[in-house]
Amino acid sequence: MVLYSTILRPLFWIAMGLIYTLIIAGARVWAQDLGLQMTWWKWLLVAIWYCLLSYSFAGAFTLLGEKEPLAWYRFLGFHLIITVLLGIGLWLLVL
Amino acid sequence: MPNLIKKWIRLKRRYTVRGKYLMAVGIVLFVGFFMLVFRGVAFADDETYRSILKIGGLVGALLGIVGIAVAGYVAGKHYDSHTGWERYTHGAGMFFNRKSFHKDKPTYEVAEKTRRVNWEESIFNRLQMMMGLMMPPDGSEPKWAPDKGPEALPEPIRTFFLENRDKYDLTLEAFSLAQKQHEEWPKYADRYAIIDAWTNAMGGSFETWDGKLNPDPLYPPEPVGPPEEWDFRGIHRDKPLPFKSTTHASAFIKKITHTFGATLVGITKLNPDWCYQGSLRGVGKGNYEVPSHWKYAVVFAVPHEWDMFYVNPTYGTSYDAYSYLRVIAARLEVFIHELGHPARSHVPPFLYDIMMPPVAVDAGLGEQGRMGLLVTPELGGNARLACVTTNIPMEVDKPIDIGIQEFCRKCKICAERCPTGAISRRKEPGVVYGYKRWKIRDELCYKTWTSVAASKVSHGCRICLAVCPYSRKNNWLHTFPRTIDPRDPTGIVSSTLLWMQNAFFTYPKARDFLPPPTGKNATYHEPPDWLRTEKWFDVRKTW
Repeated sequence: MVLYSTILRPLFWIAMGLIYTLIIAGARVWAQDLGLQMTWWKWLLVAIWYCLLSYSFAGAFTLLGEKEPLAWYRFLGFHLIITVLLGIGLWLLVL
Repeated sequence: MPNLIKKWIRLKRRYTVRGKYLMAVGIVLFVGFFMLVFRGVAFADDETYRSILKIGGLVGALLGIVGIAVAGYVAGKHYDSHTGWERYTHGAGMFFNRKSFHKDKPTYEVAEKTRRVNWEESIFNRLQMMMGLMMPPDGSEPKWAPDKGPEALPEPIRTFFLENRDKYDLTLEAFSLAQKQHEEWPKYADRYAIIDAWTNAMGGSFETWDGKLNPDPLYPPEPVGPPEEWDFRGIHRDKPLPFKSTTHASAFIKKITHTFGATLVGITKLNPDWCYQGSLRGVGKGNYEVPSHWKYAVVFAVPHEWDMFYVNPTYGTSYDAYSYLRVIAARLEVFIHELGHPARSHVPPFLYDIMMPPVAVDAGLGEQGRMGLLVTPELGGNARLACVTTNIPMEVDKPIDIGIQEFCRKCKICAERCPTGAISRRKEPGVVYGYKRWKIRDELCYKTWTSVAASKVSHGCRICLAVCPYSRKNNWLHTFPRTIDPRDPTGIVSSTLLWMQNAFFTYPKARDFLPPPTGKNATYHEPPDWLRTEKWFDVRKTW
C-alpha cells in the first residue's frame, strides 16, 4: 500500500505536521480577527475538540479499512453527534 | 554544487524514481509551508498574509481531517496490523508489556482436588481412535461401525462412552453430518475452491489430499518408543552446551523460537496435571508417569491468517496455523537436541501428550477464555498453540492476569454466536478436573464443525475465536483499548467497549453460520478478494 511505503510514510506524517502548523497559525489569526478573548485553557479545549473530531473520522475510517460494513458509519454517526454538541458548547464558551 | 548533483545521482540509484520525486515534493512542501507560516507570523500586520493564513488554516483543518481519515483507513486495511503475519520478525509481534500483570498464580483457581486428564477425555483422541477403527490406515477391514454400538468399542473409549451416552449420540450425529457435508461438497466446490486448496497446501505437512494422516515421515516425526529414548535421539554431545545462567537460557530459547516463526513464546515448569493419563505417543495405551525430563515447556503461539480468520467458518481454516506450528516445533526440537538436551514436540492437529491452553496460561501467554481457548493481549483468541518439552534449566515466565476472566463474565458474544450452543452462557465458570474454568461441550462443538461447508476434507468452525472482541487486529483503534482495559480496575473501560461492540458491530445470527436450509453459510466479514474463486477463475457464479 502506497501510504505505507518506506519513503511515503514519513513524508505523509511530515505533511500532516505541516498542516497542523498551518492550522495553529491560522487559528491564532482567526481568533484575533473575531475578537475572541482566548486563554490557554480555551485553546486547550479547542485542541481537544479538534482531536475528538479527528478521532471520530480516524476511528470510522479504520473500521472501513477493516471491512466493517456497518460499524464504521455507526461509529462515525455516534461520535459526530457528540462532537457537534460539544462543539456548540465550546463555541458558546469561547465567544 | 557538483557534490549535491553526485549525491542526487546516488539517491536515484538507491531509491525508485517515484520515491525520488516524492521526496522532492516533500522537501518543497516542507520548505514552502514553513516559509508561509513563519513569514505570516512574522509579518502578522500584513493583511494579505493574514488572509492567506486564515484561508490556509481552514483548508488545513479540512485537510487534517481528510489526512487522519486516510491514515485511519490505511491502519485498518494494512497488513502491518496482522500480528504474526506482518513484516516484522524477531518477536516484534509480542509487543504487550506483561511485567505489570505478572502474578504468582494463574487466573484459574483450584476448586477441589485436581487430577490428570485422562487421554480419552479429549474429543480429538476419541475421534482419532474411532476413525482408526472405522477406516484402518492399513486399508484392512473396518474393526468397528456405529451400528455395533459403544459396547463393541475397545477400551478406554468403551467405558467412557458407556458412562457418557449423550456424548456417544452426539458423536454419531456429527459423523452423519460429516457424511452429509461430504456429499454436498460438490455444491460448494467452486465457491470455496481457493480456501480448500489453501487448506490442503497448509495441511500437506501432516495430511494427504484426502484428509488422512500422512503416512510418510512427518515433520516433526511422530515418536517411536519410550520418551527416555525418543526424546534423546539426535543428541551428539557428551554433555550439554552450558548456558551462562538460567536467564540466558530462557532468553535465548525464546529468541530462537521467535526466529523460527513463533509470534508469542513463553516458558513454564510443566504441571503434570496437564499431561494426558492413559496413553503416551510412541508407546501406546497404559498408565504412565510423566517423563522426568519433561521439566519445562516452551510453549508458543501463532495466529491464523487474519483475512480468512474473519471469514470463518467457510472461508477459514485451522491448517495454516497448524502447519506453521509444526515447522516451528520441529526446528526447535532439533535445535535443542543440537545443544545437548532432550526435547519432544507436542503439535497439531492432535499429536499432543499434554493439554495446551493451561500450559500457555502457566507460561504467561494469556488467560483461558469463555470458549475454553487461550486469549492473549496481542492476538486475542486468534492464537494456536504447540510446545516442546525439555529439561534445559530455564527461568520461567509468570502467569498474567489481564482481566480476561472478568471480561468473559460480561461479554458472552462467543456463546451467543455459537451455532450449536456449545459454549456456556453462565456467569461463573464451572469446575473441570478440579480447576475452576469454563469448558465447552465438545461434542456439540464438533457438531458445528461437521455441519459447515468448510472444505472437502477438513472440518472446522472457529466462529467463537473470530467474534471475540479481543481478537482484533493490531491497529491503534483496537490495540489502544486492549492496552487500557487491563489497567482499569473499575471495569468501566471494558463495559464501555462491550457496549460499543454490541451497538456498532453486527454479527450474523448463530444459526446463519450453518449451511441451508438451517442457515445461510454466513461469515462474520465479507471474504477478501483473494479468497473469491470468481475473482480469479473462469467459473460461473451461482451463489
